[in-house]
Amino acid sequence: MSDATSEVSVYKPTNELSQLLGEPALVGLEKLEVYNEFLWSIGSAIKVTDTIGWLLAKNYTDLSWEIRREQIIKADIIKYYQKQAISELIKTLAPSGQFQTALYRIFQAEDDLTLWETNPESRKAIDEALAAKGHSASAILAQAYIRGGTQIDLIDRRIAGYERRRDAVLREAGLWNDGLRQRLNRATTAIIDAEFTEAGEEAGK
Amino acid sequence: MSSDRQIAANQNNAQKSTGPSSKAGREISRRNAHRHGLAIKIGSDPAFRDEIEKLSQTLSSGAQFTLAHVREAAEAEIDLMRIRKVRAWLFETYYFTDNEPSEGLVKLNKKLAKLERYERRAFSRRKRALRAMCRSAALIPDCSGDPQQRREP
Repeated sequence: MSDATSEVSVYKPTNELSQLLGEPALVGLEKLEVYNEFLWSIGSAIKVTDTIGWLLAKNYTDLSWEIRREQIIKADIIKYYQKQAISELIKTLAPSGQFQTALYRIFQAEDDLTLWETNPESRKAIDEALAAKGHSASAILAQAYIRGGTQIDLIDRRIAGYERRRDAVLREAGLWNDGLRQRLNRATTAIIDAEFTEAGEEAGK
Repeated sequence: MSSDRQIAANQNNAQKSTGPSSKAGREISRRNAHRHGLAIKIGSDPAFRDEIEKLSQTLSSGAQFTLAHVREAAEAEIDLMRIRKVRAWLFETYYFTDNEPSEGLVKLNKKLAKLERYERRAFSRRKRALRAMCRSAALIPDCSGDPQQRREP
């Protein structure tokens, strides 16, 4: 292993090689430590032993990172349109009577929307009230998908593109070393599981 | 529609235009068609020369690869890094701002669609170069590069 140092079980690229592979392109609140942990875990899973191995591992990590980022944005966008749909439907919860309805729509609907966003108990109560009016949670989610359909579709296409490239990296790895490809392939399931779990957790915040 | 006289006058006037005359003006106009620089072949950009050189040296150490293939792979890899940085910048500029997320996403999606073809091109270029390296290095026994494999996305 000329280009990589190994500790007990964690494979890390040398500082020189890290510099050559470049700083990861992070955005928003993404953390360098989390990225590095991810790269090293892939390096360790596939037991990288040379520069080309690290180059492919880095590419694999970057593409997985992009997929994770897009999934988090997709979840954010669905939430945004879900809130937009709720903000319109919540007005149907106004009490009867012309004056009471006007008061609710003008002054209280917005407060209830904030409660729906921030307070789980209020959210449950509002969801139940909306369901009683014929707007079930799944129907509202469907509305959110319809509103953001075009943008969500573009995100999905990008994710599919990154996944195809990630598969191509696997095939490239196989050209150099079948063992490397097999180990990278084995690591894939765990990585994909982690992507969905993390994106789900981010969306649930 | 312009008359023959107007067309002749326009052509005559155009002959008198010599473009910017100062050195600074010429420097600016030279870059009129330059927007993001991604269409320029990275190997001819002096800003990346050192990085390409270092990566080429590291990739070629320890095996007998054809130098041209190694350089091609290094250029494509640095190009991919550059494209990822541009993508991150687009996310920062259009999405992670104070604007409404839907508004930012519409702009971001348009910009990312433009970036896509550059990434696809760099990715294919690196794949070709790595396969060529693999074939040229008799030191790697299990190299099984197959040029008939389907095109990459």
